[in-house]
Amino acid sequence: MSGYRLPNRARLNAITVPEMPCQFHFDGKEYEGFAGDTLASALIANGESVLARSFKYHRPRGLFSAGSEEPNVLVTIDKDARREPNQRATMVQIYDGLVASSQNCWPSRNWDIGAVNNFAGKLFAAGFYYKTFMGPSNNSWMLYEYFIRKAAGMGRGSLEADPDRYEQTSIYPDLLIIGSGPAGLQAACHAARAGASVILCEEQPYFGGSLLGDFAHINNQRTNHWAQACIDELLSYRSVTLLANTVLYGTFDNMTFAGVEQLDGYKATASPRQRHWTFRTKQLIVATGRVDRPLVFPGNDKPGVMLLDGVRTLALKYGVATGKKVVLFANNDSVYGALADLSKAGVNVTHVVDCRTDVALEYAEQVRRVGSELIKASVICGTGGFRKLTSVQIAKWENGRIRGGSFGIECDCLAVSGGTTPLVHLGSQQGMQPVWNEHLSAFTMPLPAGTGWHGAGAVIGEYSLHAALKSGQRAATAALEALDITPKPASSIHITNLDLPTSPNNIAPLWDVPSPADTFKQKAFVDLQHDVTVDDIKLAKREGYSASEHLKRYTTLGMGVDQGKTSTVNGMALMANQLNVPISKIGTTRFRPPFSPVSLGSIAGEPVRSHLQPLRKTPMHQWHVDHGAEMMNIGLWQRPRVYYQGSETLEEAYIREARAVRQFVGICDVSTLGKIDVQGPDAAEFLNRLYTNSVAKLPVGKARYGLMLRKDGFLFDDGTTWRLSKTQFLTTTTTANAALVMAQMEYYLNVWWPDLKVHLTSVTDQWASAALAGPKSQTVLGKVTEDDVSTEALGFMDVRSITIEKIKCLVARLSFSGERAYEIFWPANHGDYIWRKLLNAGKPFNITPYGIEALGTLRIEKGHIASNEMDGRVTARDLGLGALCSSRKDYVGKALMNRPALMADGRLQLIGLVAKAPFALTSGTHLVRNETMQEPAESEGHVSSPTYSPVMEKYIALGMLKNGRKRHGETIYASDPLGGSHHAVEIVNPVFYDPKGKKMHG
Amino acid sequence: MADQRPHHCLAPSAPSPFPASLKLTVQERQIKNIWKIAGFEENDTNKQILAEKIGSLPRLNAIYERDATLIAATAPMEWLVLTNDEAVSTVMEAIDRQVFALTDLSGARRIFDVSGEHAAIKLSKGPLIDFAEKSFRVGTLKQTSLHHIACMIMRTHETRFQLVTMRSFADDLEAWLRQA
Repeated sequence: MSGYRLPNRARLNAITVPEMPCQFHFDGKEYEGFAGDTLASALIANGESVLARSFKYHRPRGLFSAGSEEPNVLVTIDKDARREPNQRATMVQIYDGLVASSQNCWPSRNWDIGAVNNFAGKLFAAGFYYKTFMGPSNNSWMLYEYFIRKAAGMGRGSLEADPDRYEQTSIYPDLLIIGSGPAGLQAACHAARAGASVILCEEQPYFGGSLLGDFAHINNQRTNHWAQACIDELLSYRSVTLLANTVLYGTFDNMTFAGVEQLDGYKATASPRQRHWTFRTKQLIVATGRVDRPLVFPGNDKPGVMLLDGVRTLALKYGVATGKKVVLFANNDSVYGALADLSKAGVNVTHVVDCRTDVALEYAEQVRRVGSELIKASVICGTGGFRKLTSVQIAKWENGRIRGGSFGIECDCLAVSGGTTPLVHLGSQQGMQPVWNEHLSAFTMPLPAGTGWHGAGAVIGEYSLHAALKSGQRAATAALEALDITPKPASSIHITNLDLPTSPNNIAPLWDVPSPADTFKQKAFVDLQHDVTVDDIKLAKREGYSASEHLKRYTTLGMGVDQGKTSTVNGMALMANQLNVPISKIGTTRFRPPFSPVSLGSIAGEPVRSHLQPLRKTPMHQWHVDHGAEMMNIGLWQRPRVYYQGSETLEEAYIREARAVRQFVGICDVSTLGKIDVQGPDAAEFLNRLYTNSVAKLPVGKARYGLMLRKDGFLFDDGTTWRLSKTQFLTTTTTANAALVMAQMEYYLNVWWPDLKVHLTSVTDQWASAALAGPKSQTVLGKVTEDDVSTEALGFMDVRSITIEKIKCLVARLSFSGERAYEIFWPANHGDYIWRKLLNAGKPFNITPYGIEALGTLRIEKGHIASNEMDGRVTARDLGLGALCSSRKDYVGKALMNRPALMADGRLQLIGLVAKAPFALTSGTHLVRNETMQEPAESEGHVSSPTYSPVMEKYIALGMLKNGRKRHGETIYASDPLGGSHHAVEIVNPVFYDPKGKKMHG
Repeated sequence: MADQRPHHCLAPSAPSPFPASLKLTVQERQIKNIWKIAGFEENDTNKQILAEKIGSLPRLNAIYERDATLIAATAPMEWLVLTNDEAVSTVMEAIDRQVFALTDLSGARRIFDVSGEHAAIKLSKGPLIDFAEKSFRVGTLKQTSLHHIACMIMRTHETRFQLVTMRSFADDLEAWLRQA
């Protein structure tokens, strides 16, 4: 292959723009192309031949096509974090600064050491892995796998985080049209004129498909100008959305389709880089067109052997000739139309090899007229050259056999056409069966009526330009009728200046050309991407893998980036020949998404970094950040962990905060607590059925701590219930379980007890909340309100409505810390204001804001449980809370709570632990009897909540231990073999601080 | 960097459906009182009682806006009342609590006014909702999630939407909207 730029691009009207040159790098070498070029067209224009190495045999490979069907030239785009492997060079638009590299080769694509595989071709036949990598022992695979993984795959992805942004969106058109060739454009215009909302998707950067590389005229306009006029018209409709560079990769149930739009090429500056579209359409028109089918003959993978349509597209669309001496080889009439076009473009075609005996006189005349030579009833049976094609071997072809010897002719490009393959993948994804059309020698996709799917153009076998345009109009009319939209009269279509047809008429099936006797045998490839040869197909048949799906999996035929666009039909035909059955009996494999490769980023990359998950902030969030808080994510909430002062460590900070609460007063943002407003005449009865203790008789103005069980009797959540009026309660839940508790309550109310007149509303966001705790808390509270907050007026577990600066607030005297404490709730829209008021009032008393580390320390000292202990495996009794489970009323979970297994000896029970030496304990550490961690030990429980206790001046923890309550005073070992720690701990009562509750109640 | 795509190609790429030049305006709307009212029993009498107190009630998933008050019917026998009218709030607080649950959500919600010629198509980057005018009519609402955040979207004009979301998520939603 010796490609070059054609001199008459202007006449061709090629889409490349010479006035806009682009410098790009491929394998470290700088090249120049033009805006509008693909990487493939630019490299061919620069005379490059070997662009890739094959997957298995590492054979040198060149460009094979000009579209998304490209099986050979997969490249890696960009570098470092943006490196993106396995991109088809035919789909990559070049831009200034593009960096691309070849892959699957070392040290270079021209000299690849892996090519040694080519000499061991017999060894690497289909099924090689399955047969070879067995035994001698069961563990042998571990060894083989290491090397296979090293050798497998093509490009290498980046291990760095993807810096790009991706976007997702959805759209609900009346009509989705896939493909903007003649059929698609005609359909879009017809539907848009009638007023339907239309989406037109095009995989390429430009609309028009085959119209961009054609010399024919439609209604006296050259095809590309007609396409331009259609696009201009479509742009004038508000109801039309045009999506170029958008591959529709998958079809799903209920008329849902997914596509990915590549934005601004591969430029790193594109933001977002790709957009994922979900289309939910009422009607669909599939106008995906067709691709040329290769011919299978010995040596058909040399760099320089290309699909005929690829050669034609490069010449007409990009102004690039693929060689200086081009030979055409075909089994159908399209070769003569292509010959005419290539000649007009200035490509030197020396020979046309046609396997058919009967060639129309006008075609023969055409060949003569352009100065080429026609070789009829002949086939290419071999190729010469190593890194580039230098010659082809030609032999006579009679009755499906080679007759006589072969002769060679020099050439540097061979363009082949074995017919065309309609792209039926999308229908196949939905389970629709392609059917074999003997006349076209191709599988087409008849789309069943009433499904909302309509076919247009090649996909339903309408190959010619006129037929494609007509079918587009018909499909649009059918879609409009299904939408109850009256179509406008169809426009007339006149095709002129079509010298010779470019459709594969009069096709003579030619599935396999054997090597002639007088030449050495060369490999004949069916699937270029996976190096599947004719011999592999024969082997699959011999070994019983003759069904299409088996053939695919045994040989890897049709897998990979190109999804078998150029190989499946040939593979199935060869198998049919082997079995001596018609190809219609074999069928095709069922194609699966994606139709073309899409990045994982486009599907799953939108929610990353700050958008990975939504974050919840309390009303006082900014205050915390401004005052040195280290924020940490607790579920979706961001909460202050500690407020650092100076160069404090984490431990120093939380110990200081906890000490301040015990000595003076502390304030903690507890807005994240779940809060549920329960209202209605039956609210008390409802809550009474949920909580283990009695709520029905809770007086107005009082709060009660309660437990909620799951139906299976295990502990679900704890919290307090505040009775605000006869018919209104406010219940609090743990932060972690707020949504679950709300959902569970809704479930009970709607499914179990729909007769109860109760209404639930989450008011977590309505109330900003603070825990004001410590000996001076009452004094501080008294300074911000004129209401009476004395012990007599606001006793333990009392709830009152108070006013702070004319703002109505709720206050309950509750304590999680073990100190005298108040939970104050105020409207969240006054969050920061009241918080600052409380802090200002507390200043004379050394008020200290404390985070969740100190909160944890305080509650562990007090022996209060939290989510660490309520891990879904414990009962209320295990935690020493059996007394809260009423025996006089029924409640959720009561029946199953009393199962023997939940009351048996040996259950894990809540205990306190004190480290005997000054070592910090860690959550999850096992509790064992063994004095050293070297010997295997049975775990008897675990540490659930460890901390350093400022009160005890020791490391302490809560934990769960077998029969723990009976074992106070014992010594046991907290063992963490993975972390390398093993410490003696004493088992004690879990309430370390103020066991009688004098401080809390006082 | 200047856009180097060819501009005189035969069939040029169409303009993006999300043109950067067409701005989306996002403004927070200040509402003094937000109330949720829910009837314990679904019947016309109760609806009538409520309608007499606060005015016309919209049908399900529709909104009714009058003066400084907007009422959204969010579920059968459930309404969200957004008002800056103190008189309406006074009436609300006097509603019979044996018949209706009344919850103050004034601090629990933030409301964003999203407007612009391409507001609908830009919002479609979020929920799987058809924003076409014939599917999402002016004067109706949809309850969905935007950027995984529960959100009620009210269409008050062809090119104007009001998004009601929970206060704690609002900063994150606003950042997402501005990026969109």
